[in-house]
Amino acid sequence: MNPARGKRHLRRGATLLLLAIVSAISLTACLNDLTPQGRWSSPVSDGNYIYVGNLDGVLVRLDAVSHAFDANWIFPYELDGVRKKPVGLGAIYGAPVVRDGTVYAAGYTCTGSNCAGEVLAVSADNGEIAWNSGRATLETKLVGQVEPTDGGLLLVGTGPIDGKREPPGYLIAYSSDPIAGRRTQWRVPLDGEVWGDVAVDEASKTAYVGTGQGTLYAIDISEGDNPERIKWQFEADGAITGNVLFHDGAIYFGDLASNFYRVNPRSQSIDWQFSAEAWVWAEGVPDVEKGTIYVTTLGGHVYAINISSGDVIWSTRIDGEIIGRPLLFDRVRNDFTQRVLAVPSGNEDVHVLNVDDGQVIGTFPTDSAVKSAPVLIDDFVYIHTLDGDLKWYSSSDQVLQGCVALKDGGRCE
Amino acid sequence: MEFLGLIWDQGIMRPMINSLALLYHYLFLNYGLSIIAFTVFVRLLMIPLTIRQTNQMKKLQTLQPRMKAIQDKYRDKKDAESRRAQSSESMALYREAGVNPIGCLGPMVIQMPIWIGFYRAIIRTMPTTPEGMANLSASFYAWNPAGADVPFSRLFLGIDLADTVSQVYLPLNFVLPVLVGASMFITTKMTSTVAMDERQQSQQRIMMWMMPVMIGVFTYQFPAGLGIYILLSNIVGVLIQYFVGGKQPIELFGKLYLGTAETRAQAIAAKEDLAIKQLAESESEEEESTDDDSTSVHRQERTRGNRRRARNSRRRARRRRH
Repeated sequence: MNPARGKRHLRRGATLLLLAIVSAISLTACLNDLTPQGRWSSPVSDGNYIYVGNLDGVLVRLDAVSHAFDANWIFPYELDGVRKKPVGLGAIYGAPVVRDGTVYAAGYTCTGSNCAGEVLAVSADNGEIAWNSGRATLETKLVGQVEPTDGGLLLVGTGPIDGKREPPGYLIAYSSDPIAGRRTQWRVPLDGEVWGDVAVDEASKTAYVGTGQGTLYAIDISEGDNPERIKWQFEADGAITGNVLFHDGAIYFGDLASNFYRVNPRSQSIDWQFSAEAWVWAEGVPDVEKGTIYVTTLGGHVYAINISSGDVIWSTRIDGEIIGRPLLFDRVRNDFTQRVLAVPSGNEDVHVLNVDDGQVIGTFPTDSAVKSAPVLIDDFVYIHTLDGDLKWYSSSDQVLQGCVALKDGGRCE
Repeated sequence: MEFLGLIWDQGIMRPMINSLALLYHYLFLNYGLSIIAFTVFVRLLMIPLTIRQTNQMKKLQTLQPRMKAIQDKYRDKKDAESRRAQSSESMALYREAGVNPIGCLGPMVIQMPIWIGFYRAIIRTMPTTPEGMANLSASFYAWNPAGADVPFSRLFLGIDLADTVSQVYLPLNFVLPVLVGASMFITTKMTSTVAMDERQQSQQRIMMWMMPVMIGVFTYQFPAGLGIYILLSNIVGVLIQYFVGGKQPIELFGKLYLGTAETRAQAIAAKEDLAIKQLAESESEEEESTDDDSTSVHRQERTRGNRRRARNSRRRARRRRH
């Protein structure tokens, strides 16, 4: 070959290779933005095991005492000989819920705007699907956790279903009965996607759910056919993406217009509204003893607010966004009990704040971002980090006690 | 690397996200209008660069015969010293004319980060995942009132701007990539200089087709918002280039479009000149080839090709004049 022509081909090849690399990088970045990652799922315990959704969207469990990973109890899976091979849903954001020997969770993934989600009901005994009628798949986003009710319903908020754009969201009620289960009892169309957990007031048989269009819905969950289940609705200033909390007869939630609200369900109006300095995502944490509710923002702000008046008692700020619900617990150290708030940071670590003044008095070192809620189980604080590990710490001195990689039960890096 | 990331985020992404969001806030909460306004704004901002590019192109064009002479002088000298001498003579020529040989790439180089940034900005301002939404919070300046408008409405003319073009309704999902490719072709055509020799011409032809086809194919998988941006950016770019470049006619598939009578006549004359030069060159090469038995078949073919093209070009020019 002519050497000049060879060089020319080489140059042309190099240019094309460069273009391909740039395109691949852009495409990868794009896919990361469009694909749900999950890893916000908090652990939950039934006394014997600790359940959590892992980074692939698989429900896994650990022994609550030995912390041994149970490789025989994973869901969803497919059999590879006699071995269970995990086949994840993609992403699980909500915490699993254990009720009457069944573990409920929801997860999904999307390719472009085509989403595939599934509501899981798995037997705690054998790790198999608990519903006789099979698996409950839905072409939608399932971000919030599944909320069981005393009336035998499983409530879950969704995005638009079956590839349609309208309505943009639903509240769906399944039956939790193993025989009737999976069948939709009813579904209520909403004005936006639901990303947060549903709050339930069993006394008034009402579920409260917020949408991305900023509407808080009060929905009748009583038995029987009721064509008009929406009792009332309340318009917030911004999108409601986090959880709605029902506590002591009032509804608490934040929005992306940087507000935090206390709404009275009887009068269907605001008791008070607090303007934060950034978007409010995480659920508020009420402290009954102190008459306070702790509110956090994606800007890292933490506010202690008088739960009756909405007045700020103190405020502070940590590094990183706060997405997971902070953990309020009594830290016992040398026979001295101190009430503290463990606040997960989107940068790394979970910071321990004195609830009297908001001073940082300790840290659970995680070496990774935390977007799940820390949970206290038997004197250990469990933290699911964004890199996919479950770490547990002594609640008294924040010393790391153990760690397991939730993907396969292996050692943490 | 971290520093570059910081510059990228704070210097390009954040201003872009906030500008788009602010435009959305003031343009009737319509993201499509916000993209259109942003595109026009960016293109207007780049007018000084476009003027500079056009001037550089014109100067490069006038230097072409002298560059060709240098190339001819060193055609058969392949040793390192001759190459160095050729390079320094070329650079001296550029210096003398006040031309930066890669200066005309300036707007393109500046446009690339804007494109990539815009691509990322569209995806980031219309998040479809919880983490995307949470991350968006950190991108807003505290004073930006648009933060409270999130999530932005993504519909424009019935298109979900966050969807990939492939997911847009028929026939727009195919029409948009074709329009993007075609507009890119015209832009490339308008901003390319006329190459003097065969090798440069063939490279230019490849680039002229390769880029638009590639961008058109990529557009099929781009978010619709970005597709609209690229199309609009090309259209505005063509308009600006047309007026800044002195209303030069655009030659497409052998025909001239737009331009004034004067610029059209100039273009025809320039084409004729080039054709004559190429013919003269090929004839002199042919003479050389009869003297030199070692002339390759490749060169003969090239010479025949040049003569054929020159004849065709002369014929077309004659027809246009009649």
